[in-house]
Amino acid sequence: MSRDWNELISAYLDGELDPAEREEFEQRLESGDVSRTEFEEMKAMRGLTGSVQLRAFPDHEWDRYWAKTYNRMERNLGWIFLSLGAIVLVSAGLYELLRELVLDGASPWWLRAATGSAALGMGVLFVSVLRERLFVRKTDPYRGIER
Amino acid sequence: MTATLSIPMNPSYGRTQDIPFVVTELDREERDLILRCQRGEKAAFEPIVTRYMRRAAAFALGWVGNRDDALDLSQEAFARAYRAIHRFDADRPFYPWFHRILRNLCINHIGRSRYKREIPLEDAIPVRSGTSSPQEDAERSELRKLVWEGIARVSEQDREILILREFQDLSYTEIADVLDIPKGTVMSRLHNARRRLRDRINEISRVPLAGSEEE
Repeated sequence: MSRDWNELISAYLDGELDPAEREEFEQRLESGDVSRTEFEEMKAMRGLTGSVQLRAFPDHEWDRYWAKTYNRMERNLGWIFLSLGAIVLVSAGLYELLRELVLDGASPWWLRAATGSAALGMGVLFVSVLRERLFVRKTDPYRGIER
Repeated sequence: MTATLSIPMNPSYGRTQDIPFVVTELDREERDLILRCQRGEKAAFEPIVTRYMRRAAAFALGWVGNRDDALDLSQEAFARAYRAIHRFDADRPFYPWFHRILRNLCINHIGRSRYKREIPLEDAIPVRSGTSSPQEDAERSELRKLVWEGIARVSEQDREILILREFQDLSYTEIADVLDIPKGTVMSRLHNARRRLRDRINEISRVPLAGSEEE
């Protein structure tokens, strides 16, 4: 399969070709195997992007950088514990509430029906979301990438 | 002094080729630090953060265009990397793995509606104040805007490689390491990204780049 020499224009301009490739590229540029128009455009493009650079960060940001990152690391751990605890507490609370309202014959029928309906709705929604997540997980092309 | 190691495959890393690479003394130090982190020593993560913080923050800045957000995102990426460090294969270089976490955070960030974007570019060769006319200042400002708008309009894959090359000045070998792709792929991917950037810039400016003719 023949090589697309136009694809090497950037590498040539960036000085990333080895001497032999460089020499061959120059010959092909002379002979017209490489598009002169594209070569000039890419040269102009490099000039354009090379005329600007990212703004530097103030030096003091680096002095505080590790401390801020460390705080985040600790905070993330805190969130994990808080979330776990909250899930257990909320689940236990809901269970108690349902037990009180649905199984307690003293509550009015409409209150028991509404509570049962809300619980059923939450269950259906939970299963639906879970099913969707599992489906996306199976077909997600980025599943191997850490988010 | 360098030594060549045969790197075991780790499916979770997403690499498809068994590419041996040269491990330097510095990388051995990094490996030891990672192993200490995996044993729960938070302090061992500090030298790793310090080594890569500038590179990480600059990449995020090139992506999101706002210095405060760039610092936040890069710090969050380090925090997430630490949280997942037990899943990381210490025999691999840290930065490519970390780079994926950072890039995904940046992608999610710009997907949000409430997101403040600025033009984070300045002249590569600073012009002393008072030495240029207001018209020249305006032209340079327009140029910066043009480049930034062009970068913002290309695909995520193109933007990533353009930031690494044009703004972070990484060599093709370094880009290949960071993106975990062969150097030949860097050559073609970067060239195609530049082509598309040229097209976007031409669309915005409605004037073809200097030296170009309509094909």
